[in-house]
Amino acid sequence: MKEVGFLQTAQQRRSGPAIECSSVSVSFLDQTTQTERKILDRLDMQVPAGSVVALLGQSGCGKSTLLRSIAGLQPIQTGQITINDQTIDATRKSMSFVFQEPALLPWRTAIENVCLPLELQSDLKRVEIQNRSIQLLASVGFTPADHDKLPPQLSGGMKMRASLARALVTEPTLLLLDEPFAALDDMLRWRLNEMLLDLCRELSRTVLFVTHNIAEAIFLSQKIAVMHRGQIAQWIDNPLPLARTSELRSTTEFAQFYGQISKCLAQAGSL
Amino acid sequence: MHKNMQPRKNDWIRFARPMLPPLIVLLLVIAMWQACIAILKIHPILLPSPIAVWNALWTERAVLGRATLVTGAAALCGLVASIILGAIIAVLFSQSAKLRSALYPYVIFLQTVPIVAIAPLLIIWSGNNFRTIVLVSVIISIFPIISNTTAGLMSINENLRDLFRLNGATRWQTLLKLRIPAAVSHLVLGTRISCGLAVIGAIVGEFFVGNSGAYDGLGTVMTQWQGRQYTSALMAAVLASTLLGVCFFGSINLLSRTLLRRWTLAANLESE
Repeated sequence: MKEVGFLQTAQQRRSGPAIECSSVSVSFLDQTTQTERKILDRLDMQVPAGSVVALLGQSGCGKSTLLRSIAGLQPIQTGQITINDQTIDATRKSMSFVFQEPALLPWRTAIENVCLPLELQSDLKRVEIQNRSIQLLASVGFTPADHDKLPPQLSGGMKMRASLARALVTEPTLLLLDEPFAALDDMLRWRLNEMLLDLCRELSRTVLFVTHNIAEAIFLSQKIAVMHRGQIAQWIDNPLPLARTSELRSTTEFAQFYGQISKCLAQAGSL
Repeated sequence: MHKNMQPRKNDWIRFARPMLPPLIVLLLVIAMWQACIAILKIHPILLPSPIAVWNALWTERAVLGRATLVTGAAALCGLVASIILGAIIAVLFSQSAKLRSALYPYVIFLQTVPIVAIAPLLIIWSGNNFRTIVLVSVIISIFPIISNTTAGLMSINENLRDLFRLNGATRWQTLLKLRIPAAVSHLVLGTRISCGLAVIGAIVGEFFVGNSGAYDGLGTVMTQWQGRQYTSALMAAVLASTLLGVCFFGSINLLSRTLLRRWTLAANLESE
């Protein structure tokens, strides 16, 4: 996994891109009341290159919409989003998105699902795509026996692993995750969190993930952005050491930081 | 090894058990039918006994067998043509909203046109032949395929659509790798409705083609027997045409469970 990516230059891969949002607004028309509902309200945000950032907030605060805007899936009404000073379209090939549900194609086997992004956007030979996918599936804990299973035959955790492998197969420098483990039970969530941490450490990249789980946000991130009513209410630096194992969750530092974040969320809610 | 034999026997029982209740119903109906005839003394032209029907089935086996094959061939051609044509139309509909809005009313028209009314017209245009029968069969069976497949092509999970957008998929890639595979299960559903219709279409077509000597399907044979008040053979023909439809239905289910399994597994078509 140390070789130079085929889509990006070595320079980009070392740091990952920086994201810059300035004065971004998104509003939807509420069909029942016929009024504009502001989802993102002149939001400013800078995500430093190579950092892992958690977007934390209550349901409906606009965190998913922000992530979708950065991915270019949600058109914005005002403002500007740039990734390494480039437009979203120009950097599309170097970003990957992980949905809340696994979003696997049910008629494709696990490995064929992982192959898909490269089939769509690269000119690589079939064998190369296959090899790369096998590598990725191994890194997310797939046994070769499960490679040829169809999604309906896989457990929820395995589907999410395949979905992660698919997101990483293009070697993205920017990884966007939209509550990827929200539908999983706690034990599985923790295991996948540790796995994700390993995968992010291996390749330095910018990671932005949405969650409403405080412990998950603390465990994965270097910085936490608390969102409230379509704006970033507060940035909090994660004081915990970067080398993290499952034991970290039972330390007093973790508990202290958890308390601090809960307070922030409560404050943001009472504004 | 002997452990493998045990579940196999159980498999057989599990396979046969659901057949038992309908079989009992069938036997009961036949018994009641026979009893009614014996008690009410119904004239055989009005309602022949089950034994008479069985005898007619046996004596007319050559004619019936041939007619079933001819009608089956026509219905199969009609169904295959409906699948191919219907799928192509559905793909075109999925690619252009303008085309869809301009042509969909006429597709509904196909559904509502009384086939009995236009069959004579088709015979004038196309003749007393196999082609006309296939045509009637297509007209009657194509609508469920078009409407189901179009729905399948159009109703793609939003995340999957986003996934293709994020990977910069072209329209062509999205069609081939997302829309069409996603619509296969809908096509199978449509075909399951259409297979019975295709058989009905063929037989209705044959009624109109009549006994010109050039064509001998179930419908033509039935018209002949109707003229001779050969009721027992008529009922045997009804049985044959029903079995034909069941065969079609069974084949499609088998196909969806084997060759098309990958595309129908998630849609859970096998729950029945």
